[in-house]
Amino acid sequence: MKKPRYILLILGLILGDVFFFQISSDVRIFGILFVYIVLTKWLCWHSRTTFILALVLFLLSFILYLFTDPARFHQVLIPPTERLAVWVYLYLVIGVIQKWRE
Amino acid sequence: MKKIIIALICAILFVIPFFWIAPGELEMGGDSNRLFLYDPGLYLQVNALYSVEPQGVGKLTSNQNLLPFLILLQVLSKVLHSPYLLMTLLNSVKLVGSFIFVYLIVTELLSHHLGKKKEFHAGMASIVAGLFYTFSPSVGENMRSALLTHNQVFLNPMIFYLVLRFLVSHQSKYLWLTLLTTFIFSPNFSLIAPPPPFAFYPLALLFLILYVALVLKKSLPWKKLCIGFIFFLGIQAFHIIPAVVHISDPSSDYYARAFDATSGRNEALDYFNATLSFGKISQHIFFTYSNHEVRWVTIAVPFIVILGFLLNKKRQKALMLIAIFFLITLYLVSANITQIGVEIYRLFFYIPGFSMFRVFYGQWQWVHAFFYTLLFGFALFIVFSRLKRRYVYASSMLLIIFSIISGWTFINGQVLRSIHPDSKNMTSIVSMNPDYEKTLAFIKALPDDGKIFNFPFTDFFYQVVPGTNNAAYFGPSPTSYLTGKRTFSGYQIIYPFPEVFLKLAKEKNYAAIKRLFGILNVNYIFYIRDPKAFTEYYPTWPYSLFHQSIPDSQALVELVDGIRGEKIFQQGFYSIYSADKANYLPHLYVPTSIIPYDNKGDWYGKNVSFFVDTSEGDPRVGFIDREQCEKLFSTVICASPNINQGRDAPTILFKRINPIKYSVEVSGATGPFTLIFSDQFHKDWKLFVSQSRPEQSAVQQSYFNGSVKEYKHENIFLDSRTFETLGRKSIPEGRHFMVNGYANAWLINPGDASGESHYEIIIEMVQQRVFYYSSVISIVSLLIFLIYGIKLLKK
Repeated sequence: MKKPRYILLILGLILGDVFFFQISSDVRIFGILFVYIVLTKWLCWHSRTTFILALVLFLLSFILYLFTDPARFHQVLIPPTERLAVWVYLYLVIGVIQKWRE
Repeated sequence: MKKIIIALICAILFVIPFFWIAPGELEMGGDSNRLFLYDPGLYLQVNALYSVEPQGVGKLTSNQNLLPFLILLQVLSKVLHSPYLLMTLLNSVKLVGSFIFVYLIVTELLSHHLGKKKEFHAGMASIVAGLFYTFSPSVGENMRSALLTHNQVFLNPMIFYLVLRFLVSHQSKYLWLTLLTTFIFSPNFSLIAPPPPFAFYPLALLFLILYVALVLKKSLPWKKLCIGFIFFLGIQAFHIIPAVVHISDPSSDYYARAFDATSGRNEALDYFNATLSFGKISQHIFFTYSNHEVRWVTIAVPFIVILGFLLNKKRQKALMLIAIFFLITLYLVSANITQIGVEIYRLFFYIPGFSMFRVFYGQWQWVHAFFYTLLFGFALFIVFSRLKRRYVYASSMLLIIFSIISGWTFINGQVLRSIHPDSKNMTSIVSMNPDYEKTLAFIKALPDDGKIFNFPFTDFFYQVVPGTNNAAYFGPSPTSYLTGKRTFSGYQIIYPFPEVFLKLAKEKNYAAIKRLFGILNVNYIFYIRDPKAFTEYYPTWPYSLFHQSIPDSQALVELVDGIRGEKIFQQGFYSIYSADKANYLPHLYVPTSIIPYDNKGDWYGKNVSFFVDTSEGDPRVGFIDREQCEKLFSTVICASPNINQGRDAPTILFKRINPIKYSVEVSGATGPFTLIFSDQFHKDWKLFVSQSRPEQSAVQQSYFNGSVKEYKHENIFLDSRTFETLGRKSIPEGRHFMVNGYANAWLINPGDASGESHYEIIIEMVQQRVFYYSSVISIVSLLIFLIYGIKLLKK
């Protein structure tokens, strides 16, 4: 598999986590992150890849943000835009750590 | 060109607040109120000089940190002669200060990392970053009902910039200016209002040290820093030491918050758990105002931040360091980042003192906004570096327009004019009613030391005072803060009696309410009959609890008529009545009987309804907890339902020297007697029997056939008698006890006055002495500091 396919796979897993599960789970989040970190080590991806992924997730989060009723932010079930924003945060953290080490 | 742009922006920012409110209007409400803008001098006297609260039963407090700032405002007030101008000027300073110091910081940070010919790009990035910060929700949304610590919106960048310049250049003048700023704005560096300084400065200083040491690889001026820190402690001693004493006092609210392992930590954690859903990371990334119509403009800043990371080919240590601090503060302000993240956050609440951050989404927002701005400025510079000048201009204009659109609700003053929750279109910008001002003048001139009960009665510690427009002041009682008279205006102020008061009001037990007012030393009832103050305009909030007893204005009129005495003042909607004379108890009195009571399992777990069913004819009663009674007297005596004290009751004449010191002239004391002082019980209220003969003065009030009299009261902060009790022995603490559920009482024996029957007693709050001592440290430190500053300037 080539790099874009792996990235698409990771993106698919993230979107699956956000849209197919109503409740957030650390097992899924850290599982996906673990896979991603293994891939970055194995395929020697740089922080740039991580930031690209963060950018894509951010843009998706923003589009959803525009169409999310503000009242949904105060409901028990967290809206997808918020869950995507958590993913953006996590990818920024990984990206900054990678950049620091590069 | 750049200087012209900056000057133009500063001028526009300076002018903007003048459009928010019209001349004659004021916006002074909120939890910490800004009544000091109305009359800084009086506010200083009432709220900053003494260690007791100016409202309610006189809880201990420590507001001395307000002094330098209030003195500055008082000077400005003498020049401007207008609270409106003072308020608008302060808002203008906030806007201009926010912009200019963020601009300077970003320029300074970038100056160490930009290549040749990039100054223009850095300048434009700094201007955009400065405007982004100035129009951000952290600055704008809190402008309404702004707390005193809201000055942090410009102080945080200002101090950061000065310290940055000091650490980079090692020039002492920057450190000196930093210390001077902290002195003038000492409320922002107080231990009493801890979240703002503790949220910002530890992280900011850590960042600066790491930045200078790791990124710039320069040495740090540790010696100068240590000297500066000692000076800081010295010039701030006047409020830091009293605050430390206050916080270490187990009876203070702050002690529980900071140290109490059983209640403080758990309460904070409970609060955190209850409000966890407010922590939304998306809202702190998109960083938008609550006005959701303009959400589309929020894409720009986070997009540029991520783009900056992408375009940054070299490893920029400065960018990485800023990013790390941004991510830390984003976590602190959001909390809701994975379940593990939340669990780790919960552990923080086991750190003593961290409970101050239980309102995490509020307390961390400024430090988050600050590092977000730095990151944005740096990322924007990286993006700009790749663009030609004309595109930089165009992009900057676009980003500035985005910032203006995003912050438009703030720029056009809408934030300040927002409607009070659940009200009928009532806002906070008030045109003061001249009738209310006349009423305040009347209250201020009241000769006696009695307290005032405000109606309508709110759920919190607020008073609602409508203006002539469709607006109301909503905050701590101006009737207290602008007159110096103690008032009761809300549920939280009449501890420990709020529940019993509401119950009695519901049951229409007016006789018991009159007795309660007597116990609370309430001599006046102040009723604002304006429909804009009560249910007609505020159907629920802030009267949810009061409504359960008093559902509408008609019921309120009935209540006031049921408990009031004669009307003594009327001006428009504002009426002042005397309380029931038969039940009134002066601030100081000698009880004719002591009535022990048992715990009946009241709402507070303490008996607070002891006075309700008493059949005692003479109101001069001291209700005492039976356990306490047995310690003081004996089990046999306390078994009696009424311990008669009337036989040896002396005559007393008292005078308030200032809110923390009373002089009492006792005559005809032939045996032991009890003296009750109706201020909140505290071990630091001490009673001294004076050796000097009491000073004679004009008697202005007399009660109980002359057995209690009030002299003309004074308000002397400092004179030859201020320290007269120093070194004197007070009545032993074993004979100082609580009566009436909250007040101080002392059992005085003839031996205390060496058998004399006519002598003087001084009652003093000795915690105030800490302020006097620490002020000396501050004055000396300030003098040395100023002399050093003059030397620096001469160089």
